Amino acid sequence: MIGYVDGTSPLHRAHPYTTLALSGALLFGAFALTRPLEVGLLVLTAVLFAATGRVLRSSAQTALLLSLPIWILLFVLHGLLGAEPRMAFGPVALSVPGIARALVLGGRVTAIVLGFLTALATVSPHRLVEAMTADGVPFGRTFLLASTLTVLPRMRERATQILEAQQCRGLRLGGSIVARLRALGPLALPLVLGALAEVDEQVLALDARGAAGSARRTALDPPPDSRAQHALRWALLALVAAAYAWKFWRMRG
Amino acid sequence: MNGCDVRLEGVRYAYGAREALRGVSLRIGAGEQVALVGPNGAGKTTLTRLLVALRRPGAGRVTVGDWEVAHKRPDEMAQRVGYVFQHADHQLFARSIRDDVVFGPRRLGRSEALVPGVLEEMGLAAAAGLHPYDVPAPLRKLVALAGVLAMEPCVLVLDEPTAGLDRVQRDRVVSALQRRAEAGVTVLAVSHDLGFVAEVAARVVVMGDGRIVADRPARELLYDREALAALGLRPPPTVEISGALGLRGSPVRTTEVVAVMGGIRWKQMPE
Repeated sequence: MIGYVDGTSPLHRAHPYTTLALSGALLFGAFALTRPLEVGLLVLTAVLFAATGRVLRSSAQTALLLSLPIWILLFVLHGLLGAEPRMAFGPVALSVPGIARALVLGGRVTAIVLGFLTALATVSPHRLVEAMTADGVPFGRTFLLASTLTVLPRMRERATQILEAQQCRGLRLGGSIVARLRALGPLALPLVLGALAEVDEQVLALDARGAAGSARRTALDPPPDSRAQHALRWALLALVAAAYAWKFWRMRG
Repeated sequence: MNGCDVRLEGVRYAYGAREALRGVSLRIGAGEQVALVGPNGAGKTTLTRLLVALRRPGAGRVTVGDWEVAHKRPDEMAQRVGYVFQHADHQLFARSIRDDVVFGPRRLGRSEALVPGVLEEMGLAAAAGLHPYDVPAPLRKLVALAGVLAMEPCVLVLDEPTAGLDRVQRDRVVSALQRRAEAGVTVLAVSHDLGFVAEVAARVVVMGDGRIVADRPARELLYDREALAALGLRPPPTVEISGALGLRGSPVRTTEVVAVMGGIRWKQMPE
Protein backbone atom coordinates (compact mmCIF):
# COMPACT_ATOMS: atom_id res chain seq x y z
CA MET A 1 0.00 0.00 0.00
CA ILE A 2 1.59 3.28 -1.12
CA GLY A 3 -0.10 6.60 -0.42
CA TYR A 4 -2.02 8.43 2.25
CA VAL A 5 -4.19 6.37 4.59
CA ASP A 6 -6.74 8.27 6.63
CA GLY A 7 -6.22 7.93 10.37
CA THR A 8 -5.98 9.54 13.79
CA SER A 9 -2.54 8.40 14.91
CA PRO A 10 -0.09 10.84 16.52
CA LEU A 11 1.70 11.11 13.16
CA HIS A 12 -1.57 11.91 11.38
CA ARG A 13 -2.35 14.59 13.96
CA ALA A 14 1.17 16.06 14.04
CA HIS A 15 2.07 19.04 11.89
CA PRO A 16 3.04 17.68 8.43
CA TYR A 17 6.52 19.23 8.75
CA THR A 18 7.11 17.23 11.95
CA THR A 19 6.28 13.89 10.32
CA LEU A 20 8.37 14.81 7.28
CA ALA A 21 11.24 15.86 9.56
CA LEU A 22 11.12 12.46 11.28
CA SER A 23 11.17 10.71 7.92
CA GLY A 24 13.96 12.98 6.72
CA ALA A 25 15.98 12.27 9.87
CA LEU A 26 15.70 8.54 9.12
CA LEU A 27 16.86 9.14 5.57
CA PHE A 28 19.89 11.25 6.48
CA GLY A 29 20.58 9.08 9.51
CA ALA A 30 20.81 6.04 7.24
CA PHE A 31 23.64 7.70 5.32
CA ALA A 32 25.48 8.71 8.49
CA LEU A 33 25.09 5.52 10.55
CA THR A 34 26.97 2.58 9.12
CA ARG A 35 27.85 0.21 11.98
CA PRO A 36 25.71 -2.89 12.60
CA LEU A 37 24.50 -1.69 16.00
CA GLU A 38 23.69 1.78 14.62
CA VAL A 39 21.81 0.29 11.68
CA GLY A 40 19.93 -2.01 14.06
CA LEU A 41 18.83 1.07 16.03
CA LEU A 42 17.93 2.84 12.80
CA VAL A 43 15.69 -0.04 11.67
CA LEU A 44 14.11 -0.19 15.13
CA THR A 45 13.43 3.56 14.96
CA ALA A 46 11.84 3.16 11.50
CA VAL A 47 9.63 0.37 12.87
CA LEU A 48 8.62 2.52 15.87
CA PHE A 49 7.94 5.42 13.49
CA ALA A 50 5.59 3.25 11.39
CA ALA A 51 3.96 1.80 14.53
CA THR A 52 3.33 5.31 15.86
CA GLY A 53 1.56 6.10 12.59
CA ARG A 54 -0.44 2.82 12.93
CA VAL A 55 0.68 1.78 9.47
CA LEU A 56 3.37 -0.70 10.48
CA ARG A 57 1.83 -3.76 8.87
CA SER A 58 1.02 -2.26 5.48
CA SER A 59 4.14 -0.07 5.28
CA ALA A 60 6.49 -2.86 6.42
CA GLN A 61 5.00 -5.29 3.89
CA THR A 62 5.44 -2.79 1.06
CA ALA A 63 8.91 -1.77 2.27
CA LEU A 64 10.05 -5.40 2.34
CA LEU A 65 8.55 -6.03 -1.08
CA LEU A 66 10.25 -2.95 -2.55
CA SER A 67 13.62 -3.64 -0.95
CA LEU A 68 13.59 -7.40 -1.62
CA PRO A 69 15.40 -7.13 -5.00
CA ILE A 70 18.07 -4.99 -3.33
CA TRP A 71 18.43 -7.53 -0.48
CA ILE A 72 18.86 -10.34 -3.01
CA LEU A 73 21.40 -8.35 -5.00
CA LEU A 74 23.35 -7.42 -1.86
CA PHE A 75 23.48 -11.01 -0.60
CA VAL A 76 24.54 -12.36 -3.97
CA LEU A 77 27.14 -9.63 -4.51
CA HIS A 78 28.68 -9.48 -1.03
CA GLY A 79 28.08 -13.10 -0.13
CA LEU A 80 29.78 -14.47 -3.22
CA LEU A 81 32.46 -11.85 -3.74
CA GLY A 82 33.16 -10.87 -0.13
CA ALA A 83 36.35 -11.53 1.80
CA GLU A 84 37.31 -14.65 3.82
CA PRO A 85 36.30 -16.44 6.04
CA ARG A 86 33.48 -18.29 4.31
CA MET A 87 30.64 -20.37 5.59
CA ALA A 88 28.98 -23.19 3.68
CA PHE A 89 25.28 -22.66 2.87
CA GLY A 90 24.33 -25.87 1.10
CA PRO A 91 26.28 -26.08 -2.15
CA VAL A 92 27.72 -22.51 -1.91
CA ALA A 93 30.27 -21.00 0.45
CA LEU A 94 29.37 -17.42 1.38
CA SER A 95 31.60 -14.73 2.80
CA VAL A 96 30.81 -14.05 6.46
CA PRO A 97 31.95 -10.38 6.38
CA GLY A 98 30.11 -10.05 3.05
CA ILE A 99 26.86 -11.29 4.61
CA ALA A 100 27.34 -8.89 7.53
CA ARG A 101 27.92 -6.04 5.07
CA ALA A 102 24.81 -7.02 3.08
CA LEU A 103 22.74 -7.02 6.29
CA VAL A 104 23.96 -3.53 7.18
CA LEU A 105 23.34 -2.11 3.70
CA GLY A 106 19.98 -3.85 3.37
CA GLY A 107 18.93 -2.60 6.79
CA ARG A 108 19.75 0.98 5.83
CA VAL A 109 17.79 0.71 2.58
CA THR A 110 14.79 -0.85 4.34
CA ALA A 111 14.83 1.84 7.05
CA ILE A 112 14.82 4.57 4.40
CA VAL A 113 11.98 2.94 2.44
CA LEU A 114 9.93 2.25 5.58
CA GLY A 115 10.38 5.84 6.78
CA PHE A 116 9.37 7.22 3.39
CA LEU A 117 6.30 4.97 3.13
CA THR A 118 5.23 5.87 6.68
CA ALA A 119 5.47 9.58 5.84
CA LEU A 120 3.48 8.99 2.63
CA ALA A 121 0.82 7.09 4.57
CA THR A 122 0.48 9.60 7.40
CA VAL A 123 1.02 13.03 5.84
CA SER A 124 -2.22 14.22 4.30
CA PRO A 125 -1.42 16.02 1.01
CA HIS A 126 -4.21 18.48 1.79
CA ARG A 127 -2.76 19.37 5.22
CA LEU A 128 0.73 19.67 3.76
CA VAL A 129 -0.50 22.05 1.05
CA GLU A 130 -2.31 24.10 3.70
CA ALA A 131 0.82 24.25 5.86
CA MET A 132 2.93 25.35 2.90
CA THR A 133 0.33 27.90 1.81
CA ALA A 134 0.32 29.34 5.34
CA ASP A 135 4.11 29.69 5.02
CA GLY A 136 3.72 31.62 1.76
CA VAL A 137 5.08 28.92 -0.55
CA PRO A 138 3.96 29.72 -4.15
CA PHE A 139 0.98 27.73 -5.41
CA GLY A 140 2.92 26.11 -8.27
CA ARG A 141 5.27 24.40 -5.84
CA THR A 142 2.57 23.28 -3.44
CA PHE A 143 0.52 21.92 -6.34
CA LEU A 144 3.53 20.04 -7.71
CA LEU A 145 4.19 18.48 -4.32
CA ALA A 146 0.55 17.57 -3.71
CA SER A 147 0.28 16.06 -7.21
CA THR A 148 3.41 13.99 -6.61
CA LEU A 149 2.08 12.68 -3.31
CA THR A 150 -1.31 11.77 -4.73
CA VAL A 151 -0.23 10.45 -8.12
CA LEU A 152 0.42 6.86 -7.01
CA PRO A 153 -2.94 6.16 -5.35
CA ARG A 154 -4.75 7.89 -8.21
CA MET A 155 -2.86 5.92 -10.85
CA ARG A 156 -3.50 2.70 -8.93
CA GLU A 157 -7.23 3.42 -8.77
CA ARG A 158 -7.35 4.30 -12.45
CA ALA A 159 -5.33 1.18 -13.36
CA THR A 160 -7.85 -0.99 -11.49
CA GLN A 161 -10.75 0.63 -13.35
CA ILE A 162 -9.02 0.16 -16.72
CA LEU A 163 -8.20 -3.43 -15.87
CA GLU A 164 -11.84 -4.12 -15.09
CA ALA A 165 -13.09 -2.34 -18.22
CA GLN A 166 -10.78 -4.35 -20.48
CA GLN A 167 -11.62 -7.63 -18.79
CA CYS A 168 -15.26 -6.88 -19.51
CA ARG A 169 -14.34 -6.66 -23.19
CA GLY A 170 -12.87 -10.15 -23.09
CA LEU A 171 -9.25 -9.35 -22.25
CA ARG A 172 -7.70 -12.24 -20.35
CA LEU A 173 -4.87 -11.25 -18.06
CA GLY A 174 -3.33 -14.67 -17.42
CA GLY A 175 -1.71 -17.10 -19.84
CA SER A 176 1.68 -17.11 -21.51
CA ILE A 177 4.23 -14.29 -21.34
CA VAL A 178 3.34 -13.29 -24.91
CA ALA A 179 -0.35 -13.08 -23.98
CA ARG A 180 0.51 -11.00 -20.90
CA LEU A 181 2.69 -8.67 -22.96
CA ARG A 182 -0.14 -8.29 -25.47
CA ALA A 183 -2.48 -7.32 -22.62
CA LEU A 184 -0.14 -4.46 -21.66
CA GLY A 185 -1.26 -2.21 -24.53
CA PRO A 186 -4.95 -2.10 -23.61
CA LEU A 187 -3.98 -1.48 -19.99
CA ALA A 188 -1.08 0.96 -20.24
CA LEU A 189 -2.33 3.20 -23.04
CA PRO A 190 -5.61 4.33 -21.42
CA LEU A 191 -3.69 4.80 -18.17
CA VAL A 192 -1.13 7.14 -19.72
CA LEU A 193 -3.48 8.88 -22.18
CA GLY A 194 -6.17 9.29 -19.53
CA ALA A 195 -3.67 10.74 -17.06
CA LEU A 196 -2.37 13.19 -19.70
CA ALA A 197 -5.91 14.26 -20.62
CA GLU A 198 -6.73 14.73 -16.94
CA VAL A 199 -3.62 16.82 -16.30
CA ASP A 200 -4.40 18.93 -19.36
CA GLU A 201 -7.91 19.65 -18.11
CA GLN A 202 -6.70 20.25 -14.57
CA VAL A 203 -4.10 22.80 -15.68
CA LEU A 204 -6.68 24.66 -17.76
CA ALA A 205 -9.13 24.64 -14.83
CA LEU A 206 -6.45 25.93 -12.46
CA ASP A 207 -5.38 28.65 -14.88
CA ALA A 208 -9.02 29.69 -15.28
CA ARG A 209 -9.24 30.01 -11.50
CA GLY A 210 -6.21 32.27 -11.32
CA ALA A 211 -3.77 29.72 -9.94
CA ALA A 212 -0.92 31.25 -11.92
CA GLY A 213 -1.30 34.60 -10.13
CA SER A 214 1.50 35.81 -7.88
CA ALA A 215 -0.69 37.06 -5.03
CA ARG A 216 -0.15 35.43 -1.65
CA ARG A 217 -2.87 32.88 -1.00
CA THR A 218 -4.78 32.50 2.22
CA ALA A 219 -4.60 29.12 3.93
CA LEU A 220 -8.16 28.24 4.88
CA ASP A 221 -7.40 25.46 7.33
CA PRO A 222 -3.70 25.47 8.29
CA PRO A 223 -2.71 22.52 10.52
CA PRO A 224 -1.95 23.53 14.11
CA ASP A 225 1.70 23.71 15.09
CA SER A 226 3.19 23.90 18.57
CA ARG A 227 6.40 24.99 20.23
CA ALA A 228 7.09 21.39 21.22
CA GLN A 229 6.83 20.23 17.60
CA HIS A 230 8.92 23.16 16.45
CA ALA A 231 11.57 22.23 19.04
CA LEU A 232 11.39 18.57 17.98
CA ARG A 233 12.11 19.50 14.35
CA TRP A 234 15.16 21.53 15.39
CA ALA A 235 16.26 18.71 17.66
CA LEU A 236 16.03 16.26 14.76
CA LEU A 237 18.14 18.56 12.62
CA ALA A 238 20.72 18.78 15.41
CA LEU A 239 20.64 15.00 15.81
CA VAL A 240 21.32 14.44 12.12
CA ALA A 241 24.11 17.02 12.20
CA ALA A 242 25.59 15.24 15.26
CA ALA A 243 25.38 11.87 13.46
CA TYR A 244 27.34 13.29 10.52
CA ALA A 245 29.85 14.93 12.84
CA TRP A 246 30.27 11.56 14.59
CA LYS A 247 30.75 9.85 11.23
CA PHE A 248 33.43 12.30 10.04
CA TRP A 249 35.20 12.27 13.43
CA ARG A 250 35.33 8.48 13.26
CA MET A 251 36.60 8.58 9.68
CA ARG A 252 39.43 10.91 10.72
CA GLY A 253 40.24 8.73 13.72
CA MET B 1 -28.57 -12.75 -30.06
CA ASN B 2 -31.43 -13.64 -27.75
CA GLY B 3 -31.46 -12.35 -24.20
CA CYS B 4 -30.50 -14.26 -21.09
CA ASP B 5 -32.30 -14.01 -17.81
CA VAL B 6 -30.49 -12.54 -14.81
CA ARG B 7 -31.07 -13.65 -11.22
CA LEU B 8 -29.79 -12.40 -7.92
CA GLU B 9 -30.80 -14.31 -4.80
CA GLY B 10 -30.15 -12.91 -1.32
CA VAL B 11 -27.02 -11.13 -2.51
CA ARG B 12 -24.89 -9.32 0.02
CA TYR B 13 -21.73 -7.35 -0.65
CA ALA B 14 -19.60 -5.20 1.64
CA TYR B 15 -16.67 -2.82 1.11
CA GLY B 16 -14.84 -3.55 4.33
CA ALA B 17 -17.24 -2.71 7.15
CA ARG B 18 -19.69 -0.83 4.90
CA GLU B 19 -22.46 -3.01 3.48
CA ALA B 20 -23.27 -1.96 -0.09
CA LEU B 21 -25.86 -4.67 -0.80
CA ARG B 22 -28.04 -6.06 1.97
CA GLY B 23 -29.70 -9.20 0.72
CA VAL B 24 -30.82 -8.16 -2.76
CA SER B 25 -33.04 -10.53 -4.73
CA LEU B 26 -33.97 -9.63 -8.30
CA ARG B 27 -35.04 -11.50 -11.39
CA ILE B 28 -34.82 -9.94 -14.84
CA GLY B 29 -36.43 -12.03 -17.54
CA ALA B 30 -34.71 -12.73 -20.86
CA GLY B 31 -35.31 -9.81 -23.21
CA GLU B 32 -36.64 -7.53 -20.46
CA GLN B 33 -35.60 -3.86 -20.24
CA VAL B 34 -35.02 -2.69 -16.70
CA ALA B 35 -33.80 0.61 -15.32
CA LEU B 36 -32.00 0.73 -12.00
CA VAL B 37 -32.43 4.07 -10.27
CA GLY B 38 -31.73 5.46 -6.84
CA PRO B 39 -29.50 7.94 -5.04
CA ASN B 40 -25.71 7.83 -5.16
CA GLY B 41 -24.34 5.15 -2.86
CA ALA B 42 -27.52 3.06 -3.06
CA GLY B 43 -25.60 0.04 -4.42
CA LYS B 44 -26.57 0.27 -8.10
CA THR B 45 -23.08 0.08 -9.58
CA THR B 46 -22.04 -2.62 -7.11
CA LEU B 47 -25.02 -4.72 -8.20
CA THR B 48 -24.13 -4.38 -11.89
CA ARG B 49 -20.50 -5.29 -11.23
CA LEU B 50 -21.59 -8.55 -9.69
CA LEU B 51 -23.14 -9.49 -13.03
CA VAL B 52 -19.76 -9.41 -14.80
CA ALA B 53 -17.77 -11.09 -12.01
CA LEU B 54 -15.85 -7.91 -11.19
CA ARG B 55 -17.11 -8.40 -7.63
CA ARG B 56 -17.95 -11.64 -5.82
CA PRO B 57 -20.94 -11.58 -3.49
CA GLY B 58 -20.25 -12.09 0.21
CA ALA B 59 -23.45 -14.14 0.33
CA GLY B 60 -26.15 -15.17 -2.12
CA ARG B 61 -26.12 -16.25 -5.73
CA VAL B 62 -25.89 -14.50 -9.11
CA THR B 63 -26.71 -16.23 -12.38
CA VAL B 64 -26.84 -15.07 -15.99
CA GLY B 65 -28.74 -17.63 -18.04
CA ASP B 66 -27.45 -21.00 -16.87
CA TRP B 67 -24.10 -19.56 -15.80
CA GLU B 68 -23.25 -19.24 -12.14
CA VAL B 69 -21.28 -15.97 -12.12
CA ALA B 70 -19.25 -17.02 -9.07
CA HIS B 71 -17.53 -19.66 -11.23
CA LYS B 72 -16.61 -17.28 -14.05
CA ARG B 73 -13.94 -14.69 -14.75
CA PRO B 74 -14.85 -11.24 -16.14
CA ASP B 75 -13.38 -12.11 -19.56
CA GLU B 76 -15.60 -15.23 -19.64
CA MET B 77 -18.67 -13.22 -18.62
CA ALA B 78 -17.95 -10.92 -21.58
CA GLN B 79 -19.30 -13.73 -23.79
CA ARG B 80 -22.75 -12.98 -22.40
CA VAL B 81 -22.76 -9.63 -20.66
CA GLY B 82 -21.71 -6.37 -22.30
CA TYR B 83 -20.85 -3.76 -19.70
CA VAL B 84 -20.59 -0.07 -20.57
CA PHE B 85 -18.71 1.78 -17.86
CA GLN B 86 -19.63 5.26 -16.70
CA HIS B 87 -16.18 6.53 -17.68
CA ALA B 88 -15.56 5.53 -21.27
CA ASP B 89 -11.93 6.61 -21.18
CA HIS B 90 -11.07 3.55 -19.13
CA GLN B 91 -11.59 1.19 -22.03
CA LEU B 92 -10.36 3.08 -25.10
CA PHE B 93 -6.81 2.38 -26.18
CA ALA B 94 -6.61 1.57 -29.90
CA ARG B 95 -5.14 3.84 -32.56
CA SER B 96 -8.50 4.42 -34.17
CA ILE B 97 -12.14 4.32 -33.18
CA ARG B 98 -12.69 1.45 -35.64
CA ASP B 99 -9.88 -0.63 -34.08
CA ASP B 100 -11.28 0.01 -30.63
CA VAL B 101 -14.77 -1.14 -31.58
CA VAL B 102 -13.30 -4.25 -33.24
CA PHE B 103 -11.32 -5.17 -30.10
CA GLY B 104 -14.21 -6.84 -28.22
CA PRO B 105 -15.51 -9.07 -31.05
CA ARG B 106 -11.93 -10.07 -31.86
CA ARG B 107 -11.19 -11.04 -28.25
CA LEU B 108 -14.36 -13.10 -28.13
CA GLY B 109 -13.67 -14.72 -31.49
CA ARG B 110 -16.82 -13.27 -33.02
CA SER B 111 -17.51 -11.85 -36.43
CA GLU B 112 -16.45 -8.28 -37.11
CA ALA B 113 -19.18 -7.90 -39.73
CA LEU B 114 -21.35 -5.94 -37.29
CA VAL B 115 -18.76 -3.23 -36.70
CA PRO B 116 -19.51 -0.90 -39.66
CA GLY B 117 -23.23 -1.02 -38.84
CA VAL B 118 -22.65 -0.25 -35.18
CA LEU B 119 -20.34 2.67 -36.07
CA GLU B 120 -23.06 4.00 -38.37
CA GLU B 121 -25.70 3.50 -35.69
CA MET B 122 -23.67 5.55 -33.18
CA GLY B 123 -22.91 8.28 -35.74
CA LEU B 124 -19.22 7.41 -35.69
CA ALA B 125 -18.72 6.22 -39.27
CA ALA B 126 -17.10 9.49 -40.40
CA ALA B 127 -14.80 9.57 -37.37
CA ALA B 128 -13.90 5.86 -37.47
CA GLY B 129 -10.32 6.54 -38.54
CA LEU B 130 -9.62 9.08 -35.79
CA HIS B 131 -7.83 8.33 -32.54
CA PRO B 132 -10.41 7.94 -29.74
CA TYR B 133 -8.67 10.68 -27.74
CA ASP B 134 -8.97 13.10 -30.66
CA VAL B 135 -12.77 13.22 -30.35
CA PRO B 136 -14.72 14.95 -27.54
CA ALA B 137 -15.59 13.07 -24.35
CA PRO B 138 -19.28 12.48 -25.26
CA LEU B 139 -18.25 10.84 -28.53
CA ARG B 140 -15.78 8.66 -26.63
CA LYS B 141 -18.73 7.48 -24.60
CA LEU B 142 -20.48 6.46 -27.82
CA VAL B 143 -17.30 4.67 -28.94
CA ALA B 144 -17.35 2.69 -25.70
CA LEU B 145 -21.01 1.78 -26.25
CA ALA B 146 -20.32 0.84 -29.88
CA GLY B 147 -17.48 -1.43 -28.69
CA VAL B 148 -19.89 -3.30 -26.44
CA LEU B 149 -22.75 -3.46 -28.97
CA ALA B 150 -20.35 -4.99 -31.50
CA MET B 151 -19.74 -7.84 -29.04
CA GLU B 152 -23.41 -8.91 -29.43
CA PRO B 153 -23.99 -9.67 -25.75
CA CYS B 154 -27.23 -11.29 -24.61
CA VAL B 155 -27.33 -8.92 -21.63
CA LEU B 156 -26.45 -5.24 -21.89
CA VAL B 157 -25.51 -3.49 -18.66
CA LEU B 158 -25.05 0.26 -18.90
CA ASP B 159 -23.88 2.58 -16.13
CA GLU B 160 -25.15 6.13 -16.72
CA PRO B 161 -25.06 5.77 -20.52
CA THR B 162 -26.46 9.24 -21.25
CA ALA B 163 -24.44 11.34 -18.79
CA GLY B 164 -22.82 14.22 -20.68
CA LEU B 165 -24.48 13.45 -24.03
CA ASP B 166 -26.33 16.07 -26.05
CA ARG B 167 -29.85 15.51 -27.37
CA VAL B 168 -28.78 13.95 -30.69
CA GLN B 169 -26.27 11.61 -29.05
CA ARG B 170 -28.79 10.66 -26.37
CA ASP B 171 -31.35 9.83 -29.06
CA ARG B 172 -28.80 7.59 -30.78
CA VAL B 173 -28.28 5.66 -27.53
CA VAL B 174 -32.04 5.40 -27.00
CA SER B 175 -32.61 4.13 -30.56
CA ALA B 176 -29.77 1.62 -30.28
CA LEU B 177 -31.17 0.22 -27.04
CA GLN B 178 -34.71 0.10 -28.40
CA ARG B 179 -33.43 -1.89 -31.39
CA ARG B 180 -31.60 -4.32 -29.07
CA ALA B 181 -34.74 -4.64 -26.95
CA GLU B 182 -36.75 -5.51 -30.07
CA ALA B 183 -34.11 -8.13 -30.90
CA GLY B 184 -34.68 -9.69 -27.46
CA VAL B 185 -31.51 -8.53 -25.71
CA THR B 186 -31.86 -8.09 -21.95
CA VAL B 187 -31.09 -4.50 -20.93
CA LEU B 188 -30.21 -3.24 -17.46
CA ALA B 189 -29.45 0.49 -17.35
CA VAL B 190 -28.34 2.44 -14.30
CA SER B 191 -29.46 6.03 -14.73
CA HIS B 192 -30.45 9.21 -12.95
CA ASP B 193 -32.06 10.44 -16.18
CA LEU B 194 -35.74 9.52 -15.88
CA GLY B 195 -36.37 10.87 -19.39
CA PHE B 196 -34.00 8.21 -20.69
CA VAL B 197 -35.54 5.61 -18.38
CA ALA B 198 -38.99 6.43 -19.83
CA GLU B 199 -37.67 5.81 -23.35
CA VAL B 200 -35.91 2.49 -22.82
CA ALA B 201 -37.25 0.72 -19.73
CA ALA B 202 -40.42 -1.30 -19.25
CA ARG B 203 -39.69 -1.81 -15.58
CA VAL B 204 -37.99 0.35 -12.97
CA VAL B 205 -36.15 -1.01 -9.94
CA VAL B 206 -35.39 1.59 -7.29
CA MET B 207 -32.53 1.01 -4.89
CA GLY B 208 -31.83 2.71 -1.59
CA ASP B 209 -29.25 1.92 1.07
CA GLY B 210 -28.28 -1.42 -0.46
CA ARG B 211 -31.85 -2.70 -0.82
CA ILE B 212 -34.55 -2.72 -3.48
CA VAL B 213 -37.15 -0.24 -2.28
CA ALA B 214 -39.46 -0.34 -5.31
CA ASP B 215 -39.88 -2.59 -8.33
CA ARG B 216 -42.71 -1.54 -10.63
CA PRO B 217 -43.63 -1.23 -14.31
CA ALA B 218 -42.12 1.99 -15.68
CA ARG B 219 -45.48 3.31 -16.90
CA GLU B 220 -47.01 2.85 -13.45
CA LEU B 221 -44.15 4.29 -11.41
CA LEU B 222 -43.46 7.28 -13.67
CA TYR B 223 -47.10 8.39 -13.30
CA ASP B 224 -47.11 7.91 -9.53
CA ARG B 225 -46.07 11.39 -8.44
CA GLU B 226 -46.28 10.60 -4.74
CA ALA B 227 -44.11 7.51 -5.01
CA LEU B 228 -41.56 9.41 -7.11
CA ALA B 229 -41.52 12.31 -4.65
CA ALA B 230 -41.00 9.88 -1.76
CA LEU B 231 -37.97 8.53 -3.65
CA GLY B 232 -36.68 12.04 -4.32
CA LEU B 233 -37.48 11.78 -8.05
CA ARG B 234 -39.52 13.86 -10.48
CA PRO B 235 -41.52 12.57 -13.45
CA PRO B 236 -39.78 12.82 -16.84
CA PRO B 237 -40.81 15.62 -19.25
CA THR B 238 -42.97 13.29 -21.37
CA VAL B 239 -45.03 12.39 -18.31
CA GLU B 240 -45.24 16.05 -17.18
CA ILE B 241 -46.47 17.09 -20.65
CA SER B 242 -48.93 14.18 -20.88
CA GLY B 243 -50.29 15.06 -17.46
CA ALA B 244 -50.58 18.78 -18.26
CA LEU B 245 -52.41 18.05 -21.52
CA GLY B 246 -54.50 15.27 -20.00
CA LEU B 247 -53.40 12.78 -22.65
CA ARG B 248 -55.01 9.37 -22.49
CA GLY B 249 -53.25 6.04 -22.20
CA SER B 250 -50.43 7.20 -19.88
CA PRO B 251 -47.80 7.62 -22.61
CA VAL B 252 -44.21 7.72 -21.34
CA ARG B 253 -42.10 7.53 -24.49
CA THR B 254 -41.73 10.50 -26.83
CA THR B 255 -43.11 8.45 -29.74
CA GLU B 256 -46.15 7.51 -27.65
CA VAL B 257 -46.80 11.14 -26.69
CA VAL B 258 -46.48 12.23 -30.32
CA ALA B 259 -48.80 9.43 -31.44
CA VAL B 260 -51.46 10.37 -28.89
CA MET B 261 -51.13 14.08 -29.72
CA GLY B 262 -51.41 13.28 -33.43
CA GLY B 263 -54.86 11.84 -32.77
CA ILE B 264 -56.09 14.97 -31.02
CA ARG B 265 -58.27 17.36 -32.95
CA TRP B 266 -56.83 20.68 -31.93
CA LYS B 267 -59.20 23.57 -31.51
CA GLN B 268 -58.14 27.02 -32.68
CA MET B 269 -57.93 29.25 -29.61
CA PRO B 270 -59.89 32.52 -30.02
CA GLU B 271 -57.59 35.53 -30.42
